[in-house]
Amino acid sequence: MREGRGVALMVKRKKWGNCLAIVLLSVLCLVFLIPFFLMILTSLKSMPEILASRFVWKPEKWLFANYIEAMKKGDWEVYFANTFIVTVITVAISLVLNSMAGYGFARIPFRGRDVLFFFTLTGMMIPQQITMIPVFVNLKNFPLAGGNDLLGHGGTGMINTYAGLVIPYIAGAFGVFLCRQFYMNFPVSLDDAAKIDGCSRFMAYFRIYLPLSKPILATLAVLKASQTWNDYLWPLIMVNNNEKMTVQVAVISKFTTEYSIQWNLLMAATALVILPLLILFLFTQKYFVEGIVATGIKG
Amino acid sequence: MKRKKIAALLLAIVCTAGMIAGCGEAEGEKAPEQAELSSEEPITLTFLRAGTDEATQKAYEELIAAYEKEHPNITIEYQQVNFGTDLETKLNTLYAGGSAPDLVRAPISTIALRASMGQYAALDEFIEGWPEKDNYMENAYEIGSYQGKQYGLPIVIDAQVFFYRKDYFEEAGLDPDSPPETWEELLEYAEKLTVWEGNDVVRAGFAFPISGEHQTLIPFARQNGSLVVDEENNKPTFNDDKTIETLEYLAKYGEKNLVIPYIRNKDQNPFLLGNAAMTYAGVGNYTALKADGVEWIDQLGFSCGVGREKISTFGGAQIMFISEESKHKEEAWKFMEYLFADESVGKLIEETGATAVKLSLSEKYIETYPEIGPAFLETLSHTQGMPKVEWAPAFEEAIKLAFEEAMYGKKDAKTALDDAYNQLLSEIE
Repeated sequence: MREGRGVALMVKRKKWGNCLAIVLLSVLCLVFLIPFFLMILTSLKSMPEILASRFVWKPEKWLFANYIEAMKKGDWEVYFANTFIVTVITVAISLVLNSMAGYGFARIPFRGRDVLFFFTLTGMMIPQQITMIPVFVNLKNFPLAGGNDLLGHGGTGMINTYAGLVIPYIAGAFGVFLCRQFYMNFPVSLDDAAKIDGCSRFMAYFRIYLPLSKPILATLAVLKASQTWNDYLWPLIMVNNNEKMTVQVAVISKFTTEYSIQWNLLMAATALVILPLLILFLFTQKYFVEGIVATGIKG
Repeated sequence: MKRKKIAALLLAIVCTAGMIAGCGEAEGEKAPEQAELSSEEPITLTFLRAGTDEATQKAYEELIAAYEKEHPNITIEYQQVNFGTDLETKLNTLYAGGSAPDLVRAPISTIALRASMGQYAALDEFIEGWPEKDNYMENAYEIGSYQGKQYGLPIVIDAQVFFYRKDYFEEAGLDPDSPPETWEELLEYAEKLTVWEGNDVVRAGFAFPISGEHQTLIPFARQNGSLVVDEENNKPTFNDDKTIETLEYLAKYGEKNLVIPYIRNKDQNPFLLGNAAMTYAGVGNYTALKADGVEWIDQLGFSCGVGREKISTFGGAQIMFISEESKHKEEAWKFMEYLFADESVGKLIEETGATAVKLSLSEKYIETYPEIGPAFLETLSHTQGMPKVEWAPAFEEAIKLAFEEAMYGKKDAKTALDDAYNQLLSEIE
């Protein structure tokens, strides 16, 4: 009898716990969704409505034409194409490099591995603002690039090139760390079995580990893609002309002038710019969550 | 195994070469003067402008196209970047990376720091032989100087003219031909001209930004006799009694609920949307209103604003500089001469609201802007910009912080200014 009452109490508590969790998560959802909601609303308003002294929730007229007008300001096909190219190349190369490095750090014992890994991790701890100028100098003086001689002098190096936008991102410490944590979870017996079957390290990586890496690669792809797609600072300093401009730089420079900001067009362009990332996330959502769970890393 | 080692060695050599190259400096870059170029040799000049306004971009692109047509061996790569952090980041990286633009059009706030760091070239030698020098407005010319040397030539002096709405004046029973001249009048007029709905101000009497703002407190403090910054002794003085009194005066507009809060460079001035009766604004704002075809354009009145011990208005300035590390200073100067020819300045005046920095263009300026032109030219003589000190950006941030804190009533004027002053001092030291 007492046992039955205890179970009923537990079920009741669980129900209340679930309710509380749902309420909390709903509130959190709202907190995260409100900025998106405001972005869409603002993108459909007129400027006087946006700048009115009283906040206007619902626009008098839904100005869907703002989206067309925003895309008419500048060469958006070029900006989207540039960002797409840079993001795809960065993600593709970084997946290969990061997963291989992560595999090496996790599964191959060699002298100085931990020290080397520690040095790799320092890359995560130094802010971009500190490394920005040295990286810029290195890329500008990259041998034989952009009219440079063998010693890296005389030309513009990788300024205004896709390579200049891609290279700093392809070997990020975070990706290596993420992959290493993932590969650490596999049992040692897997390596032993591969060895007994005559697999070299590379074959073991390629035939055994890589097919099992979908969740972590999807996670890394989403994180890398959003980092590259959304980056503003690096393209701002690396690109000097319209031909290689990326969407984030264009969003700011096309709708913000010394006299005013066209908030409605800025929000419309922003809504369009985040669409590809949203689609990518929707397609990789399942693996993304698995990857996060497997590595215990929260974004 | 051996092959792997050789490959690794080669890779290491390439990487090291890259790093050494990155750290080193080319001899050719060290001595730009040595580069002897024939007039026919193709030369590329880079030109970075602060600001992203489309009309100005178009005007410069047209000027550049015409120049390139006249000088087939010269190519000018035009680029532009937003004011503020973006500009500073870009300039810092380009100068540190040895990729400085040959020509820079940047605000006055950059002159002290970048001239003292040797990034901007002194132009005195070029200007000496420039026949147009005597035709350049004296007070405009002085803006481009720093510690006795001429580093740049201003093309825009964004003097803040006092704008007011004659129709709103009439509505409030005020004389539309008598704009306020004193602080007391300004406050009194603002009270009469403000329109509320409940507690909300729907039309401000006098509009000025509450956040991100330094261009209100500085000129008002100067009107009250404060130096704000002692440029000669290179120290801030903005926590003096005069500035405190000024901030207390400006805070009254918030206390009396006379303002529509907005952020400089983020939100549009309510006056430009028809929701204020008086403000300080630039000629660029006037041309934008005219281009937008607002109905009340004929109701605008202009003056050089109010004063106390003196009249003073704020004036940002856009100055043309040549980089010290430019390999083509001669060519850059020739292009600059072209940009400061009457025709080019005339075009920039008409299309972008640039200033008549040349005496020969004063009449043309009034012809182009018959309504605002006379008030603007009068205002120019009362205009002062940011103090020319190396720590101008930090000073600007300190003023913004103190102003915002006092306007929102978070601190009283004295505490806000003292705190900002002490913080600035610790940063400078």
